[in-house]
Formats: sequence, structure tokens, C-alpha cells
Amino acid sequence: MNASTFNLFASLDWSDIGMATLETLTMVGGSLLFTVLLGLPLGVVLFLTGPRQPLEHARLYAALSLLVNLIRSTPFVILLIILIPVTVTLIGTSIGVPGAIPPLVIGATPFFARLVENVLREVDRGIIEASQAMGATLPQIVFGALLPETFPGLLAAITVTAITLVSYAAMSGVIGGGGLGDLAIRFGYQRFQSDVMFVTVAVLLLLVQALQVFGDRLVQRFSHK
Amino acid sequence: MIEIDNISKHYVVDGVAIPAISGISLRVEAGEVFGIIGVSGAGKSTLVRTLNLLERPDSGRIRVDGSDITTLSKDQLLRYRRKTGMIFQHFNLISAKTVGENIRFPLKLAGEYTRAEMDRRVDELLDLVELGGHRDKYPAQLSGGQKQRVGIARALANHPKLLLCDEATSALDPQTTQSILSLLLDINRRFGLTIVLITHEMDVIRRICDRVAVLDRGVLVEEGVVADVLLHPQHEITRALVQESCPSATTGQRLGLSGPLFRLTFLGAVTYQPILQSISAALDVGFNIVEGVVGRIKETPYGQITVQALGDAADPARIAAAFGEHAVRCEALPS
Repeated sequence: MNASTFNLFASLDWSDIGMATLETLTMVGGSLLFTVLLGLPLGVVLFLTGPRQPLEHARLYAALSLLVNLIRSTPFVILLIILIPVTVTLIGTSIGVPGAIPPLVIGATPFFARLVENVLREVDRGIIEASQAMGATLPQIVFGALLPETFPGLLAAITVTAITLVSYAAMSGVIGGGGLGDLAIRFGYQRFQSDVMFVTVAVLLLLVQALQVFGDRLVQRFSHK
Repeated sequence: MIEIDNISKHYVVDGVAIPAISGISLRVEAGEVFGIIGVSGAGKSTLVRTLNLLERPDSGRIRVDGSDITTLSKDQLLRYRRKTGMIFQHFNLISAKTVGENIRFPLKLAGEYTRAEMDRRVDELLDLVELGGHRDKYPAQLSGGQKQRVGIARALANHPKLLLCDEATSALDPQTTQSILSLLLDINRRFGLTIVLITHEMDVIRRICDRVAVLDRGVLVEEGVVADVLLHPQHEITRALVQESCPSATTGQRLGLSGPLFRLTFLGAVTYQPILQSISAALDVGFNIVEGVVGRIKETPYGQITVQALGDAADPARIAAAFGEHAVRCEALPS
């Protein structure tokens, strides 16, 4: 058993796996940053323009909501392919780590924005009302009350999004995105090297597990409910 | 201080207009504690929210210190709200901020204070509401009464002249309610702060209000000095609200007593004088106390008892006249 296990991994190039892991981390980290930067404001606007909210605006809300649903309902593999021309226009290439980041951001931003909207909706209306009664402007309500109040919830949303991005990043291997997904497809799938496939999945699992534990710890740390 | 002039407000629910308050006019004097009471759904919450325009009336005017707040510009309204405190049934504290940060929030909004000034003011307010050692705690670590104290400190941060209380004690147990009411009364006296509160509990009105308005289905049905409204309610709804703690006009029937029944109302110093005994001796009439209550309305002692007059000389007119001489209101009840 031990010997056969040893043999199974004998042909593995661990440096390839190390490199691919690093690429995946870069793709996830980079796209997570932009996803949060774009998705947080989008989520806040979705919340504020929603029904019975301070900036209630039925048409704007419906339009944003449709856009979000449109992207979210498109399978990510399809989205990756559709977005190739956009990515090329944006950064000049559609492959490798940089080429994977724009579709990852575009795919994950609506997802994250919807999570943000839901987190904000959980805030007791009384807190908005109390802030208004104190004479807070809308930006003061958002930055002084809503975002601090939902900070743990937002951290949880970022954790979920990061984990989603790990699987999206792996999928981007299909269009030459680099990272663990790329490795799994080229070696594990096309060359029938099951050992590569196995190790790739194991590393992805470790990554997801680590993100979840770290995210949960952060949420715990900032939660005062 | 506040002149509410014929305001109305309706909501649209499923395309149907539902009036919340209709044609309400009221005056609240500077420095008084004004109570608004009604059963749930009477419109009291809407009414108190019009006073800082959390609810904007459809029609009518609200003048505070002479200026109509419904015509304020956006900036003016923000400034007005910063000078008008409000506390809530469920406290509405920000759970992610400490007690100190919660109280600091309105100070930051005002943007007029330095860090040091804000720190000093927060400490001052914490002392005022007797939460000295709780500055760095989070709301989740406090009891309901303590949370409401934080709410009060936050509402007072910018030295308001008017404090609005939306069912401020309804989520608290009776003992905590008493301590919060004492604090509100203390603040009212020390700072001459005008307080407008809404409640469904007559006891809150009895404890701290000077005047009271009774609301029923969006309409103002009765208004006056608390003792008058409490002891001689005119409207059916008011009687229903008072009934829980006061003797009613139907006592005779209810107790199945015959013989002339009188309801005597003592207000002020006469409450503690032996008037019943002296009139009993003077008219040679015996009095049988069948029901009653003696207590205080705010600081004023009062008593309201129902007596059965016994004896051949029990002539209702003479008895009423005798009590009248002692400034005790005497009403013959149907028996």
C-alpha cells in the first residue's frame, strides 16, 4: 500500500504544483480585491434603492437587479468565453494569470453585491431611523452606521466570495487561465495523470478549508451581537 | 414651543389609502412633559415621528419655536434633527460600536467638536445616565435598562431642547421602567428639556407627564392636564385606558350594591385630610368605602374612592354640598 502510494506520486513534479498553487492564490487574491472594490458599492446601491429603503428607486433597482441576475445566471464557463474580447481590450491578453482576473472579477462582483445587499437588509430598520433622527446624511448613515454594523456580515460575505473565486479560478484553466485548474486540465484530464488531478483537488480543498477557517475567525473577532 | 396645526398623514397599503392621523392640532409648552396615549394602531407613533419629520405630514403645519419645520431646507432639517433627541422602544443602538462610540456618533455628525471635547462630553453623558464604568462595553453586554440609558445619553449629546420618546419603556420590566422614568423626569427638570412621549401605558402618563393627549384611530379625542383626564375621562377610549387602574362609573352595578353611591375625588393636599370622617360626623351619615385608590399623579397626591352612604340622613344633595365645601369633587353614581 505504502509502496504503491509512493509510486503513484513518483512522477509528480511538485514544483509545478507549487507554482500552480501560487498562481491560483494570485488570481484569487487579485480578483477578490477588485470584486470587493466594485461589489461593495454596487451592493450598497442595490440596498439603498431597494423597496422601502432611503433611496428607493424602483426602475434603477430593477435595472441593476436584472444586470446582476443576468451575470449570475450565466454559467461561469460560458462567461469566461464570452468575455475573452473584453479581457483582451482591457489588459491586452486573455490567458495566464492576468487574463483570468477580469472574467473572475466580472463573474464574482454581482454575486458579492447580492450578498452585500442581503447583509445590509438584515440591519434593524431602527438603526437607520435612529441615525436619520440624529440628523445623519445618507453617506453618514452608510459609513457611520450601516457598514460598521454589518462589518462581521461583510467579512463572512467576503469569505464566501473568496471560496467561490477559488473554484472560478480553477475553471479559468479551461481558457488557459493558469493555476491549479490549468494543471488539472492539462495533466490530469488531457494526459490521464490521475495523481496530478488528485493532488490538485487536495490542494484546492486545503485552500478552501483555510479560507473558511480564517474567515470564520475574523467574523468571530469582530462580532459583538 | 410646538404648535401642531391640523396635520394629517396617510399610508398607501396595497393601493388603498389608510389614514394614520387626521386633522390633529396640539400645543406643547416649553419645559413640559407631554404624553400621547392610545392603543396600538392609534397613530401615536406616526404623530411623534412628524415632530422630526421622520414622517412628513400630507397637510398641516408644525411650528417649533415659531418656525414651520415642514418648510425647512435639507440642511436646515439636518440641523434641526441634531438639536432634537429621540429615544426608541428597541433602543436602536449600533451593536458593533461600544457604548462610548454610540454616544459619540451624534457628536461626530454635528462636526463641531474636537476629539477632546467629544471625549469629555461622552464622559459627562455617561455620568448623567449613571453608566460611568460602561464606556467600552458593547450594547450586547448591557441590560435593557442600561441600553435605554445609552439611548438617552446619545439623544442628549448635542444639547437638544426637545426629546421625543417612542414607547421608550415598553420593552422594559416594571422596575426598570420606573428608573428610566425617574431619569427622564430628572433630565426634564435639570435642563428644562421639553419631552414629548408616546405610550400605551397609563402608568407612564401618571408618573411623569404634565399634560396628555388621547389618540384614537388617528383622531385626537381628548386632551388636558393629566389629573383631569385621568380622574374624569370624557371619552370612551380614555375611560378604557384608565379603567385598568381606576374605579369606574359602573361600580354600583358591578358590585351589586344598593343605596346611594358616590365617587369622591381628592386632589392635592385634601387627599391627606380626614374629610370623610368630619363630614360623616357633621351630617350623621356613615360611609362605607367600597372601592378606591390613593396615590400620586406625578407629584400631586390624589384619591378617588367610591363610597356607599348609610343612614336616614343620606341625602345626596347635602352630601355633595358638604364635600364641595372641602374642594372634594363628589358625583352621585347610578345605583
